[in-house]
Amino acid sequence: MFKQLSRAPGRIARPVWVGLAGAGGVLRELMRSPQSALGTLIVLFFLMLALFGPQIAPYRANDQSSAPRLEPGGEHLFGTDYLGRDVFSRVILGASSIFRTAGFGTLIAVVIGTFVGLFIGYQGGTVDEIAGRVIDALLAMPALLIALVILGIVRNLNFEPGSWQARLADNSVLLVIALVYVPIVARVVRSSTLEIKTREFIEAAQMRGESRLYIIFREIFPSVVPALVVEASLRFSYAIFLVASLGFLGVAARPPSPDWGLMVNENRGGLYDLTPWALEYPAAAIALLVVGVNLMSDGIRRAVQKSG
Amino acid sequence: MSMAEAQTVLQVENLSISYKVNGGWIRAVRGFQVEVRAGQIYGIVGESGSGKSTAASGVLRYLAANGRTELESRVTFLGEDLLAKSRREMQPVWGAQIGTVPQNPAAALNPSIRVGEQVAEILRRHRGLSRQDALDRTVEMFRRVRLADAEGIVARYPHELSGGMQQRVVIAMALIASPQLLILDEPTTNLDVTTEAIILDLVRELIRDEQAGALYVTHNLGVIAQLCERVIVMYAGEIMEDARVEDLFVHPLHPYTIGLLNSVPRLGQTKRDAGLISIPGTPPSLAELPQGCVYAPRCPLAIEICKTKPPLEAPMPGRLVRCHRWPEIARGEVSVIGREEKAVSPLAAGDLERERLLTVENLTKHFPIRRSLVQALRREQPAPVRAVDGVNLNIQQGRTLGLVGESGSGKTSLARLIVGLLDRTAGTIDLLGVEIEGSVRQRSREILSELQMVFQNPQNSLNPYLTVGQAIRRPLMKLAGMNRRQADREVQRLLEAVSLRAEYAQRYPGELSGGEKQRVAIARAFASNPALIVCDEAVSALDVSVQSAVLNLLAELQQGLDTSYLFISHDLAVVAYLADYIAVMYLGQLYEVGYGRDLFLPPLHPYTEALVASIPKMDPQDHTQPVRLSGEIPSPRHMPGGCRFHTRCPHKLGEICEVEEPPWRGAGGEHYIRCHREPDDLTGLQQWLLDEERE
Amino acid sequence: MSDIRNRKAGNDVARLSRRGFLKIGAAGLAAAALELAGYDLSPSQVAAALARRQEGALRVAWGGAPATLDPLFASADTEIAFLNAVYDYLIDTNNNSELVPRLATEWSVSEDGLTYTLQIAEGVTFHDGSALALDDILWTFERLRGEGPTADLYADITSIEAGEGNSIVFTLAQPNPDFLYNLTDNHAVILKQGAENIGNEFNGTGPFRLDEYVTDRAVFSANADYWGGAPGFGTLEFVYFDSVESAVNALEGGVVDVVLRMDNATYLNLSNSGSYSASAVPTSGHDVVRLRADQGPGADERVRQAFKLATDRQAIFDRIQFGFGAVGRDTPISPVFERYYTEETPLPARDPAAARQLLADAGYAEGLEMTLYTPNLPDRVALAQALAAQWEEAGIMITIEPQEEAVYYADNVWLEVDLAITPWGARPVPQIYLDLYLKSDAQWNEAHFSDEEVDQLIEVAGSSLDEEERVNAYHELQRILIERGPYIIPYFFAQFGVMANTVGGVEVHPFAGRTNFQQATVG
Repeated sequence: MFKQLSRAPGRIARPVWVGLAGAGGVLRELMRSPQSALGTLIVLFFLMLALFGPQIAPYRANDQSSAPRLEPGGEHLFGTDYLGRDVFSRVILGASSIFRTAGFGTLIAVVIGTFVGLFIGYQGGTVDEIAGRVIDALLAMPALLIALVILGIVRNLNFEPGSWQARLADNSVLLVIALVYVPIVARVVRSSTLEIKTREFIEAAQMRGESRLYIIFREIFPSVVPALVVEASLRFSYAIFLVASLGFLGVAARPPSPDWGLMVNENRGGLYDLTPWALEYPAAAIALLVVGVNLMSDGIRRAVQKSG
Repeated sequence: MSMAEAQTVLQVENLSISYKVNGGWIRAVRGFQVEVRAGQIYGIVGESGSGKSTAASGVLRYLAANGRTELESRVTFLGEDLLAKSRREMQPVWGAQIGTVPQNPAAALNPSIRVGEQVAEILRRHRGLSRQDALDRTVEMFRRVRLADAEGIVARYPHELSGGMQQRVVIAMALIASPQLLILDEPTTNLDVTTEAIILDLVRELIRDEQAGALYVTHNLGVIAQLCERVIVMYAGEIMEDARVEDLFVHPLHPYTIGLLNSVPRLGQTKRDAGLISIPGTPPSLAELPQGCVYAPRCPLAIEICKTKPPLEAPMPGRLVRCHRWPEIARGEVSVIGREEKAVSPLAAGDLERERLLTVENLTKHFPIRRSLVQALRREQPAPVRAVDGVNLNIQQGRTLGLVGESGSGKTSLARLIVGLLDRTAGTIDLLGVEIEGSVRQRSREILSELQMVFQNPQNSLNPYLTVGQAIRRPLMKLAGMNRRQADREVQRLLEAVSLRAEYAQRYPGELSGGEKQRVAIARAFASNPALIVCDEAVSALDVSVQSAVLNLLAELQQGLDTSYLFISHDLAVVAYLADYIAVMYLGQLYEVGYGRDLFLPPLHPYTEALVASIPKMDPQDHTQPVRLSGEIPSPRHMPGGCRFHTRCPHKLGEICEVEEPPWRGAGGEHYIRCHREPDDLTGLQQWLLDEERE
Repeated sequence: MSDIRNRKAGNDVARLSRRGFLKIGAAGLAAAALELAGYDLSPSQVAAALARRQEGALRVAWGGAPATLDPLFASADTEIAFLNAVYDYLIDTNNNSELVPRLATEWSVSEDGLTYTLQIAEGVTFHDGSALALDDILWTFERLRGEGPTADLYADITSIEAGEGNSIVFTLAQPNPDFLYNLTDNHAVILKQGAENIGNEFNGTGPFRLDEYVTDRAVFSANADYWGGAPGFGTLEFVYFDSVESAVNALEGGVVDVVLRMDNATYLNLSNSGSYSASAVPTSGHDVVRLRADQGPGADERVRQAFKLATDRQAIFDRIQFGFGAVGRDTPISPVFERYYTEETPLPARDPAAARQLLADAGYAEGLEMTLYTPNLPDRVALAQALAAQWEEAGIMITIEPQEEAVYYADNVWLEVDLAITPWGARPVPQIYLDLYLKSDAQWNEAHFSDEEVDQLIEVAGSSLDEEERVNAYHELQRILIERGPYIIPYFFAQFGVMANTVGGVEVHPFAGRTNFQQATVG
């Protein structure tokens, strides 16, 4: 109730993300709490798998030269599946696809959503009103449902192989992730923008006769970044989950891709009783990565909030 | 000293409070002590970061999750050790025995419960009263805090009440269970001066009647002088001085106290009289406290011994001071005022008139209200908010026009209309004889460069992600047409002009104190070498010691550059200090204009008179407060007819005030009053001002 | 076309049911993972089933429910099983695909192979008490020969008449050595003359009478007056589940006694557990992997040879069929057709290097990239992945394109693409496959394979009255298909039944819906 209760005294230094400009700075900030340190290590671990998977994995993803249904241990750390594929290698190799789709999908969503949010937020008025309603309408639909509908349609279109449509269709999951998250990112950026555009430094810029683009990108955008970073990391964790779910539902990845969701789906039912390891390891990988990203994004949120 | 026999309510000894920040413990309050007796109001005064609120919270054991009270601390309330109690045992203390009034009443009230219920609940819980009895007592209490229509107000929700009414409800809430101790933390800081005066009267009266002890936390020395019996001056978490109020104001012993008292402009003091005496530097960060005396880095009397920690000494009974050199100060052997601040050059009478820089005629801003469904069906257009309603004024070259008024008077809207941040509804603005466009978007670069602004809130006026250098460089390049190299050189010059070191160009606003930020904002405003700078509450958010330095800076810059100011503030003393002319605004219209000094001598517009009367005087002996404004400022949507001030005017003539717009009347020289009463008539009513002046 | 479901029967039971699908959609992956642990029975199913446990009932679980029960249109296992319980066929097949008497107790064929005389059992009554008359049989076949999916099957019949004694005489326009098998067709149950509301009212002569039929179960009581002898237990209950997983859970929970049809892995688990009597019956059902022979790479015989050389059928059989059923030899003539099946023509051993060479000869020295289309069913997708891995060693790079069945069949994708997988369900005689998809002018000649020699051999096999000649024709066909056919048939399916140890006397039929229960014993 007293005004100083909410914040302990102490001078605020430079804006966190300016201070954290180097990747090392971000890491140092995240290592402060055990939870976010753990989350970050998990994410880094998987990122390493994603980048160097082919060098690490002892077998190729669709190598069926080993005996099928071998229990974990020995040469096959995670056993082999019903086709004789090394589950350990497949889990490792699956990391890159999930990072690629979820990562780039989130990136595209963040870029487009930021543009949209900044412009409608700064413009205000009718534009904002209409865009706000559209965003609300989009947000009313569950992301998974939208994704399923769109992917369902795209899957059944047959394009000329190699044509641009086909290339687009090949990346449809990534694009769908981007699409369903654009309104969410836009909304976050918009609300930050609405708040920031009333600040006096914006008026100072207007009084200098600055262009709209200058004000949006030079004056407003930097202040949006902290909220954006938090949102992006949160989106990334949801995107991983969404990609895994879509993989499980068989619309995200084409067999024999070592997509984790697809692996879970492929080894369900009767196969689960025969080769539980073929399902459990990829499922554990999904769970671990989602938890890791969540812990990390909590840490990012805390780090950013610290800057006020 | 009849009070000496009064019972001790609260005894605090050696209270130390720490916060955990970034893994380390910061000692925000160190060795705080106080003894509050029944019926006594004990003030705690200090600037932001001095630990005054933290100390009060520590007494109450309301600390943030990252805060802790150190082991050696002792808080005894009515003979009981509060620090030994569990949270559960504290409940009756918090609920009934200690009342609290926070700065923000809205945060203390539950928005979804009727205010009467909230207050009555305390009685039902802690006094076991029935619902009806509790409500009856609540109505009675509401009457005592002078809430008009107390029966009606118990059934209202907090959002239906104005800030002043909310604060009265909170005071009623704090007092309802007849607590033995009241803790008030800046309860009037967010209120207008007219409302503040009423609340202070109320607090004084209630404490006297209830014979409770009170701790009153504030940054405002005037409030202390008017209200308190004793006062503690805090700085950087430590007690600097503890004295009876009369002693403190007359014979301050600590250099910091002396600095504080000197840096507040007294009503009627102007820049032509003398410069304000300010305290150099800024308070230290609690994380990096200086060795020895915490005030030494800013103290003009600091000598070698001040590198060791001064003890809290008692020069005489009932008085404490923490300074190595207090005996010399007491004997008058040293003076804190090292150098006389330069006054702005005095003016010969004929010099006052200069060419008009800016002329505003019939400037009007009405904010349309969105139609409700019913209104849309009835094809009615709701009355707009008449924020600014036909204002005429002019500003001369190199002069300052001060604009005063309560919040809601439209002064900020007027400023924003002039600089073009708002589109006007009607009226014209002439700059150097040329009519200019209404909106910044339409204004040419030349006009933009002539009109700049210094904003109220230093936190918000600088982009936290741009360095000081970038912030100042941009207008230089954009408006003054400089290239990068010229601009960088000019940045250095401007920083120097606002007394900041060149290295500040590389810093981010987050690394600056409030005063430093405001200096940067001033440098930025001056970058395009404008003819007029609008300062909207430019020093209101600053601590007094810093405020005086910024006021001095503004005065110096004006003299050097011949820039005009439109200086807006709710603080009449500050406006009077800086302004050559003053305009008084109420509900979108001007009611009085005149030279600075004119505004404190009769005849005055009754509204101006009330403003002057409401300011808490810096003199503990002076309790003359004959004029109080009743009621709240009306909503600008439902504007009173005739003279807009008639609903609150203590000198209302009669029906004519309600029906007819008052005329402008000359009160001698360039002094005009807009009132139905004759100036002579007003002079007669305002004799008390002359009496005061004579003292 | 309504037969299409039947034709593509097989072990596609493990696909997600609609309800399960939505559940996953709603609750996400975590919920789906929990679902793996067990599908729930509806409370009414549990209550009803437990109540009947005491009464000597036989409870059979199915991983699906009937959609239509009109014999003319019924095709799924659940539908045929229902009809097989309340009605009788003239002739049955056993689990070796041999003809077995049912209403027709014996039969004879004329020398010219054009006239078939079937002796009908005496004393047969419908459930309403009326006696079976020959007119009922004539009326039923008139119905089957009219509009409908069986019109083609019986098109060669010129007349059906009552014969001497209690017999029926079929006269054909041309000889058909498999004609009696046609009479065993799933649709050919005998109805009462003039029956109305067919598909909703079931007045049959069969061993069971319908007592109750609701969406999730059908309850039958033993027909005490059954002409072939009353069943040895009181009640037959079919319980319809969303999926095979649920059905198996019900079996494990003791709520049902029999589960028919399941995927290989589930059967392997159950049979390994030792708690059940499990039977796997080899069938003629198979997956066809085919290249288009008229266009694309498959038009070149060397490419077809390369694909065959690149494929390791035994490895596929081990991994996907878990050793159940039989390894295929690229022809639809399965080992269950003992008389016609031959291993005379050796299947060349797997040789990726040779395959690569053949492809190079055919102009694909840099390797061959193709898309393999498959219905989106677990076993088929598994097969596609196994093939892709094997073919890759021969330089054939495969993109797998699983498609929802609705799209795959309804949009004729399967008939048009260059490389595809198609499952074909179990049939009692090999000729059906040849007529359906191997002949040049076959309606579903998906490979667009047109080979005069093959067409002639099919003609001989399908019409010759000389069994020796037929056997030779089938053997010759197998040789040609191995040498130049555009098909890889890696395996034949098995049909599975798993029963509580208390159940006896149930012989699992290659077509699960034709499994007879009247001989069953309930412990």
